[in-house]
Amino acid sequence: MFQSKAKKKSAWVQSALERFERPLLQYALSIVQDLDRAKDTVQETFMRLHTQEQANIEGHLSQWLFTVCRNCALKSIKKEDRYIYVEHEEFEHRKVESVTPLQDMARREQIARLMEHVKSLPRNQQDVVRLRFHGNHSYQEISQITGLSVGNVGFILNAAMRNLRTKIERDEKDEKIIYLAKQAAS
Amino acid sequence: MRGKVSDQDLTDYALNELQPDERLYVESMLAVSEECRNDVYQMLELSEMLKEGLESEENPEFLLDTEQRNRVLAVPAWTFKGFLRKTAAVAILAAGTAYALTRPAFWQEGGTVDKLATAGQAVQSLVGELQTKDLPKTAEELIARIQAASPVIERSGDFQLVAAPAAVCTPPVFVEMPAVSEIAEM
Repeated sequence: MFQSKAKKKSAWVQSALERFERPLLQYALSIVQDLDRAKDTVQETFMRLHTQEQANIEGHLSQWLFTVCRNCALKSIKKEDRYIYVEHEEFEHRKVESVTPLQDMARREQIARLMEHVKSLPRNQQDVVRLRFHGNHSYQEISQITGLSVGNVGFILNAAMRNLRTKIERDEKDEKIIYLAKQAAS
Repeated sequence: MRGKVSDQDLTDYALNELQPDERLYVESMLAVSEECRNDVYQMLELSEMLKEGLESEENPEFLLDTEQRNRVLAVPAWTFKGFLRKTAAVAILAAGTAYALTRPAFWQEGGTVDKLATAGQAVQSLVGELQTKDLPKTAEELIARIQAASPVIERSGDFQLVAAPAAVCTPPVFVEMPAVSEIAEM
């Protein structure tokens, strides 16, 4: 009986590892900024999963893993006090059809720049953006993972997205100016 | 024209985080406002880019080391030592309880059970006293009330107010010590 239960749990942990290893490492890395430390954090997260009853976590496994991973990552960097939260005061998809290789390249460049902008966001905005667009979590789930209220999650996400849009628009304007300057020079 | 639709509402709409009634209202505004429609399109576009960008950040090398992986997948084994420790703890607790309950002093008149009953009676009486009269002003009054309320305590004389010894500083008394030879003669 012990054997079959242990085997079942092992299979469950393994399937969770296969599914969430990369997203969790990515998420932990975004907090601790060090790959080895991120790996240790994820390992700790899965070790804790072993101590849990499958029935209690089934249905919100992703949420549980991200919460534990976040707590472990924060605990790991607490000593160095590197995780500085900025206060909150600062406050049906449109598909791209028939994209040409040139457009595709331009889009890739735009995404690369966008990722740079994401890294420059305040810590709490970055955290919520990652949980939403990489972890695919709802406001409610992000609220439970981060301890923020649902309203606050929406507020921070909205601020982050508006912030990113402003930066993208500024980039586009700069590009236009450079293009026009080059045209004028030639 | 934006009606009462805020930026936050539009972001929540784009991220599918609105309640059905809120969603209906935003959609009614989207039908008439090009500004709102553009805003939502831009948010959707940004969401797509963020998803793509964060997914592309996933490095295939973002995996736990083999050693870490093995540790995570190793089910914590059932150990005889752990089982023995738990069994010993339960046995000691049971033996202690049995020993205490089988002592004659526990059940005899004036024993632990008797004292507990007396204390309970006293508390009950005191509560009755307090409900009918005012709170006692001095410790003496409190003791007198307890004794008056509980004849059992009065008999046993367990509750007696002992007067505190006067805090006086007595000078040291030097007694002339007999010589060692005199002690030997004694």
